[in-house]
Amino acid sequence: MPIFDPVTWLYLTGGVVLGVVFGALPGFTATMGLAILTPLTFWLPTDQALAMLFGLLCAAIFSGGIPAILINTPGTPASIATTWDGYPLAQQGQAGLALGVNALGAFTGQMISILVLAVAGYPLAAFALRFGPAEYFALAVFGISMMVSISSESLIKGLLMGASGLAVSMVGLDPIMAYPRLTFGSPALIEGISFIPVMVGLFGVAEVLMQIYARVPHEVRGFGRIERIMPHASELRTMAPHALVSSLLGTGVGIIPGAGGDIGSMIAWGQARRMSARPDTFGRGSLEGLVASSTAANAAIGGAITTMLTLGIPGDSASAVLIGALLIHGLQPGPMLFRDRPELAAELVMLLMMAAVLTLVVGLLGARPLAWVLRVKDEILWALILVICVLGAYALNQAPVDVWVMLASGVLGFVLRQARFPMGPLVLALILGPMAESNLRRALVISQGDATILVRQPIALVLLVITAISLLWPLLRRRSD
Amino acid sequence: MSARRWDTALGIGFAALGGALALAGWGLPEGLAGVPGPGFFPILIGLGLIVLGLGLAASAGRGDASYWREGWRTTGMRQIVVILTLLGMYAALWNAVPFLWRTPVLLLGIYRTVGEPWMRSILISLVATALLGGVFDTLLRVRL
Repeated sequence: MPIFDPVTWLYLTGGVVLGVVFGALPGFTATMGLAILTPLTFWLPTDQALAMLFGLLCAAIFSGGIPAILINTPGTPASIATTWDGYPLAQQGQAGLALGVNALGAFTGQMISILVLAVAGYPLAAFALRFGPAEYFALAVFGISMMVSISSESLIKGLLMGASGLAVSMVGLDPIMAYPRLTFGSPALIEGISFIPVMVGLFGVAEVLMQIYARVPHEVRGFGRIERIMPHASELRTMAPHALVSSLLGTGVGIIPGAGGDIGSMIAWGQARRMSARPDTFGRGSLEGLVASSTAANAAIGGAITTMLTLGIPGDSASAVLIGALLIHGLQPGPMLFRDRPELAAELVMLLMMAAVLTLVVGLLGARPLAWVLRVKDEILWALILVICVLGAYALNQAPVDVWVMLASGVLGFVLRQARFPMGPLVLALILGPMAESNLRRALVISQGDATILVRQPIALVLLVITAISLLWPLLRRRSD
Repeated sequence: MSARRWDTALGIGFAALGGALALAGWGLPEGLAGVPGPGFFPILIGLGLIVLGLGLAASAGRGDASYWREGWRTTGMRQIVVILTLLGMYAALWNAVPFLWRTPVLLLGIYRTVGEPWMRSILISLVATALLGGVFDTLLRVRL
């Protein structure tokens, strides 16, 4: 039981500390932290590795709210809505209270969404066990299409990224006949391009290069004094209904592939405003608005992990990286995980709860010292992150080719992100590509080449129809406008 | 370069990549009895990339708007080129120069490139090399 293992708690603490740094520094994200840390956890036992990664994820999403409150700059995209009421509270001399509410909201959102995972995980997985190759193909296409339709201002750029991810996933042995493809005769490519170096390059190196390119001279970020942290009982009573509703909203949004805490927290903030007896205070330092946004942002974690663990498709970029982490530890997320290793599924839920509890402790006890993370100079971190990216990419297979793949991905990611190409669909397609291809070909083997098998299965048909609608919707809306 | 030219160039690049992928797919064994072989997916995705790439090139926006923040930042780009060169050399010299020599030089090079003062750069480079060496070599048993 990981809860009784002090070493697991130690790694969890390490993950939480790293998560606070990655979340609190604007520009550094949870996905970036996970991508950099994943190769380093390869040598750890599975539960300790996942404790570290879950700790990083929970703490990073929580601590993204710290700069949002103190300096009006969201640490991660999920905490954009936290600036709306958090910063006005800090300006009114209540920075400590805002940080405390942010920590409590994060804990509530994380715990409720983890409970949803615990309760809904088995039924969802049992439902997914009915899936055959046609359904899995449709599910993979659905996952990629949702990410494409949500993550980019240009549908065509999202589709190009998705198609590029599928192309990269085809390098190596073909999944049905084990025939080498696109290897250019290189033995190093027979096993395919490992997605970990690609992710480290896209989310680590490319992000640092973006920051170096667009940097502004460093200024010590100032903020007011931090005094009262815990809200009064009357304030807690006012916030409680918003925390509950926002947790469920955030979890629901997180379950949808492609939608994450940023969307969830904005929806929850709007819903809390409609529910509130004092909607005029929203955007001017409302505790209700703050708790709604921070709760929903953090609840999306459990939602995305529910989709990842039960269906095997990532709910967002961070869970795409987590799938990579599970795979390098020999775990295949999906319904089979719940059927064949229920004890492991329960352990994952427990690790997430431990991460949420430790994040709360760190959030409340460390409100004052955490604020000092904002004073770390970006320039100091850039070089360290670049070297850790190189060493992490190499360490996984101890193959220099992975370092070159990581550097090439970093340069490509930098150029494409400057041109407003989204990276999410590429990573998702890279992970889901083999699932899509092998299941499509299996379905065609079963139907002896009859492609209508994809629309004769009701679940596959529904998923493909939703896929088509999500991709065509922007075009239809533009035409109607 | 304007956003329009940038999109056109990238669109043509993606289309060319798709063409190469589809051609590579044609050279792979065919499937049996209507069931696709290993070349099916590369051809499908290759054709998709061609259509989408040409679509991007054709629909590239007009005007001189730039994707590059605040226009083309020569200083930032020069720093990136220097840092990438240093990283490339670091990877190329992996087996030739020991970790404890090449890592502080890389770190020092990056810190100086982004404008950190000499003393701080040297100090952090040495401390970070020792810490990273300890973590990767001693704890994780990675041969650096």
